[in-house]
Amino acid sequence: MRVLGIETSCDETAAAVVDSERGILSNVVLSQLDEHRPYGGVVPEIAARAHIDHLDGLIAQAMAEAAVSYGDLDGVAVTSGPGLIGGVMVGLMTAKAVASAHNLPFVAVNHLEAHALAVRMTDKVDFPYLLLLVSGGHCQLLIVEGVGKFHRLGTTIDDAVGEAFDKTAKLLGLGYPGGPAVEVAAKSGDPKRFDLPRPLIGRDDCHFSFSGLKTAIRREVEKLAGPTDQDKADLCAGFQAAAADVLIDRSRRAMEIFVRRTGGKGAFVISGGVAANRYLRERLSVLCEREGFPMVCPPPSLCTDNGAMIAWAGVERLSLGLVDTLEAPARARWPLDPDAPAAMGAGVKA
Amino acid sequence: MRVLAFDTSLGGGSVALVAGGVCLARADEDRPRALVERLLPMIEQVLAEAGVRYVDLDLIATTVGPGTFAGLRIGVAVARGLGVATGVRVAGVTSLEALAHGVIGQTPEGGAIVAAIDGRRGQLYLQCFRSGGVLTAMSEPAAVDLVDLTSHLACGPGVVVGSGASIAAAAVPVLHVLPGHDVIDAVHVAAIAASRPPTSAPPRPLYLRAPDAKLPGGLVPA
Repeated sequence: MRVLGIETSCDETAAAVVDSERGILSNVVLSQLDEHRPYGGVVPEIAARAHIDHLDGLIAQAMAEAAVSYGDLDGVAVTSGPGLIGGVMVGLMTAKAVASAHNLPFVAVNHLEAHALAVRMTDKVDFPYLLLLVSGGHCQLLIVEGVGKFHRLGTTIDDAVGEAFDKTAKLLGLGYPGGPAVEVAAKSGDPKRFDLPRPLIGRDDCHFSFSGLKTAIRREVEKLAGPTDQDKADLCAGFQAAAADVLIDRSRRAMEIFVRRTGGKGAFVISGGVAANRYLRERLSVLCEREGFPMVCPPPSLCTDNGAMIAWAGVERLSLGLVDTLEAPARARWPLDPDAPAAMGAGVKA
Repeated sequence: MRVLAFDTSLGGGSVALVAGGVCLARADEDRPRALVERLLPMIEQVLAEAGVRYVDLDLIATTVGPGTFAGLRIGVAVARGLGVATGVRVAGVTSLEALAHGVIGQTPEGGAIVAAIDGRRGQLYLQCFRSGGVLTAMSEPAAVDLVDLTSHLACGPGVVVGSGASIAAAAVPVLHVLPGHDVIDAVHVAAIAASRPPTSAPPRPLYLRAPDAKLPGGLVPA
């Protein structure tokens, strides 16, 4: 089975062709970093404008690199949410047009489900598994029971972890995007110099909170009144260590619940853009080894937003006969587990 | 020439299949914000009614704005998506010329036709044309502050159409409002696109307004 996947829900315009047997045939990603950098974050309208300027060209490139024609496809899959709605609409309408033009099955993919399933494209991971989804927009722990079947154990009640990285970088003047900049700066820093909070650690649930950590960083920056490079490195190291402690504590709690709910252990999968952070991966791998949950992480290029994971989600859904009509709506919000109770104090990101 | 044309730039939507200047099938949607769901089914319905397949088309035409940012991108995304998937030529026309084209037959030869779309935020999207068989543009499409309407609309007596028509006519009394022409008919989008020589570049949105974003420190981007 061969599927064209399209992704435009944030600041990457992407198209890819994935074959269920042969794997990724092409995976083209155009980042909009340069357009958003002056603003210190993603500007939704700028993102939508960039998506529409480039998407058709990227689709042509993905088809050419895969050396397939539209007639060789078994379906078209596209992110229809959640995400920045203006951009989602560009990808969704383009994908519908491609599907209609060749009368191909159409799949409206939940972007979070694509992150959750991407690991099954690269590693043969069986259901159920525990997923830590960490990105600029999301921070969740879920049991992945099957395609379209998720049990949410915890989510952030304020900022996503990637958002906390970006905000920390902004406070320290490290530029945008902040995640990689903080990771690099932290390498030469002392994580113990600043006493930073570990929000929600030890609680019975699996929720996250990062806004207090960000505020603590801001206070320290204000106290320093012009931090040196070493100050910045120490703050980054301290922030990263605190974030890791929180992720580890919440993940350990999720592993206990996983065992109780499924009757055994499973893979611990990390996905989303923050999974590209080597320090966090190393810290989490220690936990996984201790708890007997094999850690699996897709390669960084498949952790950040890309079209291949959307195409793969299309493969998984089409294999089960799950097809959508060309009337599929764009969804700004689309929780993986609609039955999960709202996290106390959580806003729309839960 | 077989043309599939559509407009989604002003809230509602219009789709038409025009062959040799004759409309073979059409579909219209006046509910706002329904086009993400409805546009492709409308297109497929129009093609089916006309008995035309995508591969039979000579041209796909869409409006490119000005209008609502989300709305105009729906049309441009679908046009360019169909273009990349079928290889059929794709063309864009402005929503202002599509509105003006709709009243060519209803104005005296040589008179002004002004298309005026209410752009909100104290602005009209404006363009002036001269009637006379074909439509001749007398100005570029522009987002004009209401206080500047008089100086911008020095095109002489004529008619004004579009959602901003009464605002324009109130500022420039020699313009006469032609009511009932606020909505774009895709048949006119097809007619304008078919009359133009082919261009190689795909249609791009015409926003007439910068993204609503401020640089750090509250600065407006240059």
